[in-house]
Amino acid sequence: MLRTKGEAILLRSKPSGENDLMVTLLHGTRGKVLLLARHALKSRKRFLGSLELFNHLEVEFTERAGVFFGILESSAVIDAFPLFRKDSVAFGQAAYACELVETATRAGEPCRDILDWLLDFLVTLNRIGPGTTWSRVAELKLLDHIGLAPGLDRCSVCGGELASRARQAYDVARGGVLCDVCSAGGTNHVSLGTLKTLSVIRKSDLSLCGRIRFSGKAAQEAKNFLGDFLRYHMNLDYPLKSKIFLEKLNPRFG
Amino acid sequence: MTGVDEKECDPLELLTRVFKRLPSIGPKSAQRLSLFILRAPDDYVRAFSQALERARTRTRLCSLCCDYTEEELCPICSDPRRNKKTVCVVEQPTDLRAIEKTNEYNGMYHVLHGALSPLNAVSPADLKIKELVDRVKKGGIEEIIIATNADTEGDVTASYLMEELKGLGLKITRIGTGMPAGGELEYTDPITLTRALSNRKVID
Repeated sequence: MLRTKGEAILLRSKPSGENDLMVTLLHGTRGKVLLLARHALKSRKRFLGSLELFNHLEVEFTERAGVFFGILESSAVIDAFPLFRKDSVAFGQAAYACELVETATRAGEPCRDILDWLLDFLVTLNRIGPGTTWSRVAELKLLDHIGLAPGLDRCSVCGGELASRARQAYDVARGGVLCDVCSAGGTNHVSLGTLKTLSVIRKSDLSLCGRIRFSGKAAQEAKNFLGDFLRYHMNLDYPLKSKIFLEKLNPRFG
Repeated sequence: MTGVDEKECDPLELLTRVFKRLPSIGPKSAQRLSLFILRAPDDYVRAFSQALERARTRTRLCSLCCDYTEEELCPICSDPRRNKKTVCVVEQPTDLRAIEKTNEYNGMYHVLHGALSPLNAVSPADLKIKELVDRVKKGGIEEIIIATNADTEGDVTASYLMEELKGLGLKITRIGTGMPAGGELEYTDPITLTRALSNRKVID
């Protein structure tokens, strides 16, 4: 039996039976873990209030070889994010970041840097508030952390300079934007302005990212561009539920 | 219905698959329930089947509060002794029944049939929020008590409702949250404690 302690973020929770809760946590060394929190819906002492969505927790859990889920022994709140209880857009954008991370991570694989990034994202979103760029920030920064971010500044095949024209060719399978030579026959294009804004987001701290704005047309273009990369590299053939939620709430925030 | 070819499947297997689709029922429980049905007396199985059929065909949503009912209006909405000026908004029909059990509330209800939940793609359009706003606009309601759960989804739904109902000339209240009966400070999480402190009362 493996006993683990440490920091985690609660990505998802679902009632299991009448008294229990099945939770998905992101843990630095154990990656994405599925745990049963026994009597979580009834217990006054062990978990009360701590197992809320996206809370940053100090947890202790056990796992047995060959068993699909572990047992959550204890949890205590390190950070909670009050804005997500008040603002449906911020809640949706936090959910989108967490759902992207849930999709990108695996059970048993250490992901300390992703945990730190996600925590920084939630803290910053809670502090600054919702905005039209957060979904793109989450997509691009996460792709960056897992080594799948698109090349934005130079040709992704030969490393050469891009021609200075308004629209640049790109190919998701070849990792990003392409120069004139490498893009022969390519059909997907993105404007230089959108690429520059994405490049600024990629290089900036999260607190600055929350203040960056796309123009109306560039916002849709950035959504399509990063969506192509997510579909191809993360096998996201379906829209995440939190993305559907945001689109239904207000497409500008999706 | 079950995702399998029902003609090809043996009856026990089919019944197990049907039970497995119910919430909180795993494969073993589904099998146990199937065997129970097969071994049960004919009368019981017939009554079970009729109860399912009746619930499905005769039950609809109350045209006022959206709770389940067999009539156009549910017994609470058609009761002349209830206070029509106060409406308590709950997430689920089960929440309404929990409040009714207290015998402390004599107003009306409105059932949202859920709470905002981005991880389940449940948006405001999926809840009975428009029905509530329309109901308020028709007049006669003075107070809305928002009694959604005190978890993140319930709180954000409450905030959304407050925004939607703001400006309609209502008194809007949220059910009290804080220390639970029998709760101990040492084991209470920071959010509950913060709420308990901000919602403190003068002792008479």
